[in-house]
Amino acid sequence: MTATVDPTALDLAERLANLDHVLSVCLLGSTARGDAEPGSDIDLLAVVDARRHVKDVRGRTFRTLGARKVQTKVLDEARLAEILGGRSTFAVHVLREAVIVHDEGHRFARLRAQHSPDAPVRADPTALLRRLELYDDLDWCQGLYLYSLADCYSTGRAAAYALLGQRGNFEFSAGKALVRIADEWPDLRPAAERIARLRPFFMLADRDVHEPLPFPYRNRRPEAEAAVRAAHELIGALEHGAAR
Amino acid sequence: MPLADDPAILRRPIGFAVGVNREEEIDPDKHRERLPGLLRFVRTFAGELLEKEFGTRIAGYPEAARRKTHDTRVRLRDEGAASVRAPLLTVLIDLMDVEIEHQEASPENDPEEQEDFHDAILTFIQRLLDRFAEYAADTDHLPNVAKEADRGSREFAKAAARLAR
Repeated sequence: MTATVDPTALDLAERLANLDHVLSVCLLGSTARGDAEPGSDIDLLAVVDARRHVKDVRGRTFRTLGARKVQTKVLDEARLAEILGGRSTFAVHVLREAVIVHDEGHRFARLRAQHSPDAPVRADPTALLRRLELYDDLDWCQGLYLYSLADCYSTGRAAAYALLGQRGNFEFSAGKALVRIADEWPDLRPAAERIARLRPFFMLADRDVHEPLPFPYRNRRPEAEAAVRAAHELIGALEHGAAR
Repeated sequence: MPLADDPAILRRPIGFAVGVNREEEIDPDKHRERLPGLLRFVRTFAGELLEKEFGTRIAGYPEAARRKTHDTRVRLRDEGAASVRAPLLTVLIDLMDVEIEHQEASPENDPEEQEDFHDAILTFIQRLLDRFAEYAADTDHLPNVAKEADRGSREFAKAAARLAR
């Protein structure tokens, strides 16, 4: 474990490890990478001994800690093995970046060792396209685009991770992933830059964190439509990833 | 500025329910995939409704939004203005509670829980449309949206019944 690990996240992880049926606990996301900022989410993974204990353990996890959002994925071992084998963006993130805090009998470490951290992500653009389906026509939003802008950010960010991961080029920090997309694919630069600018809307809608907004979210239909197009562009690149 | 009397605000979720009822065979996977779309509808609809009709701006969905919606309900009750508004706000709070409870449910994480979540959301959207239709009829400035909410509630009841079979 590195010296940069967030002590609050570590403390939460250790408390989680003390719950019955929990075999392994890992830090994920920015706290695992050591680049968490004040107020960053705390992302944890807990592996339990059997599927029937997933709900119970999940019910005992923290959702927030002060102003910080805590997201804990609780999985049983069999499900985790399936997920890692599927090589989704989440699976590759776990393989590459999870920091083990607790691991009974080295079970998580052994499971992780069965999969290469360097094999590419298997991306599923269909699931991302479904997330944007609601915004094919923005009339129904009645001028309130906060949530559509936030969703375009989270969908575009997911597409960026997958696009890079599909080529074995792994980056799980949203800001850095979008900059890399812009640098490596000049034709995607405008879309990647547009998505990156939407982060404050996501922080407001999803976290109630107030950062300066690049433009108001009310009655700005052209910006909302451009955001949907930018997210579609990144997903389109993902669909044609192999040919790029 | 109050909510515009434009049924387009309900078009997307009702279209989903109508779509389910038109298909001869129900593909549960396909419908579960639409769950994120329904949740996004609820967020946007709740945001519009609370801001334009109740003067409450929500963010931080669902936790912070739930607190603000609850506070609005208490304020209305204290002002003696609850009547048909309170049940509408209650169903929004219930929807936020369901989302808080199932936040980690995803097809990847727990497919069974995702299915429970999906069914609960369908039921609550139907209830939301019911309560909204009552509210809109009572306030008298949203006749077209009230009619559409009424139609939506019937479509959601049919969709939920078909999916439960």
